Amino acid sequence: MSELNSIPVRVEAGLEARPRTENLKPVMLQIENALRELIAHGTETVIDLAAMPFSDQDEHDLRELLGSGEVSATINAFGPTLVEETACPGVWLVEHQDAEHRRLTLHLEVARIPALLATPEDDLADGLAALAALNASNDSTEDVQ
Amino acid sequence: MKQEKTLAERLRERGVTRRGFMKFCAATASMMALPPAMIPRVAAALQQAKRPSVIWLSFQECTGCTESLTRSHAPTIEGLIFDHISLDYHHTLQAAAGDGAEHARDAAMQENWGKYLLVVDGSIPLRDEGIYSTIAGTTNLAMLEEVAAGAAAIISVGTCAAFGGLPMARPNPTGAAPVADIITDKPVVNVPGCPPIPTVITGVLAHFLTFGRLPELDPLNRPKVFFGQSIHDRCYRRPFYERGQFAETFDDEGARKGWCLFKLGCKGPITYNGTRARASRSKPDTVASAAPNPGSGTKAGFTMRFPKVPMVRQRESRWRPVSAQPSVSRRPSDHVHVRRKPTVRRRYDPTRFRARTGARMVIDHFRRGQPVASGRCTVGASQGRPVRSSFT
Repeated sequence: MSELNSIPVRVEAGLEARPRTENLKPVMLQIENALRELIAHGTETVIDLAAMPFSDQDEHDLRELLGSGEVSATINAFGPTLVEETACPGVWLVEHQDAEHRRLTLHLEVARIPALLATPEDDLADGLAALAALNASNDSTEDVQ
Repeated sequence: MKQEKTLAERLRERGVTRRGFMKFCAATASMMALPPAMIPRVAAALQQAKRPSVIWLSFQECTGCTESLTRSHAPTIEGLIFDHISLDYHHTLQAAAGDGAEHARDAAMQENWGKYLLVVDGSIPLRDEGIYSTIAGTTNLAMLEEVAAGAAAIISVGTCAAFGGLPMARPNPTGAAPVADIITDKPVVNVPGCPPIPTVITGVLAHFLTFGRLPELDPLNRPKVFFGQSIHDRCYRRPFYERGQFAETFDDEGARKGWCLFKLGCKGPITYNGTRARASRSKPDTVASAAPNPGSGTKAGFTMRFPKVPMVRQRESRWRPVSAQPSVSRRPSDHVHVRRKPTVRRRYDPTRFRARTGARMVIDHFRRGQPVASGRCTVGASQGRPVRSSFT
């Protein structure tokens, strides 16, 4: 019973009655400009939706407007991160959660691929080392047989 | 000579991957209200951040501040930053006791003189040479002065350390005082709150680790990044306020529909608190729980001067003559009269009341129709509403 959600009390008003902050339109225009920048100069943009007044209803409207795209992924690192491409290719919603599934941040990334999905450079070397060790152990097993 | 590990190395030891570290940096940057473009810089700085020595002194307090920081059961941003620091002295958390604990403090001070961070929770008793609170036979006052002398900076955690808090409430039997009243030659950061938001405590630490300096402070020495906005600014009920939709009682239609709680005594418009940190979380707060924000503990002197929460309905006539007796049959009969001039009383309506900043006025409190308190009030600089008052 550590979370408010576990208390069986429900607000009567539906989602439609929840307030908007009027920040949806500026965000949509910012996304449009960011996508132009990405196409023209390759500049990637990250918008922190927690950095501005943005209500649950705004977020709901934003998701409705942008729709769902082809790609969705979950990164399990220090709690889950939910990555979802919207119906506008190049516009991604990236939600970082902690190990208790509480939201840390909600980022809107305008990029070809969100930075966190790409394999870190240092991990490539670690991967190569692990693979080499795996192949070496396989070779030695075959020699024994 | 032992090689000191960086924050990135320590996180990796705890199983946090490189992606996890980048996520940690994204969340930390968001917590510190830095734009996402700063995430790579935060990552580069934290990658190399060394382990700072921290001495934590607990004086006249309830340990709620420490609880606030340590009660999490899952790895969190706060927990990871807190785990990274070298907490060389904290008499509640450390395993050592007695002389061993005090020797650990002395050793940490000698080793890191001029570089360690001093965190203080609790106020310091000054009356009768500070004898009302001692640790290992040393008064809080003497210990604070001794440890502060070698500190790089001081963080006053919680309302007691920042502004005196409950121990300083009238009649203040121990002569309690906040840290900043005693230490005047060192930078003191106030992180008030009862308890303070753990993200704010670690946000200050993270800022120190990232930039090597303390964050920018407001006139009350609070980090601007966390205390620059009011609860009202970021309240999800704010659009209802703009539309004039208010809950009038705790069980009316407005309350059920989640309307603004201002008329129920919410202090959101005059409460500048760690909203930035809270806004990035999906944790419920008082307002989300349909309770007005009490604004407790984030300003100086709240325990002495904070006015009672008025429980008033908006009525057809808010003006009442001095001689008028409030009707006992009316509910709620607990209400407040505000007198701008000796001959005029005004029924307090927080949605309409405006007064010149700095104006003096008298507030009368009524309970069940009977006057129970009367006191002076100075109008603060926020929203033209009375924010400070002293009652007799």
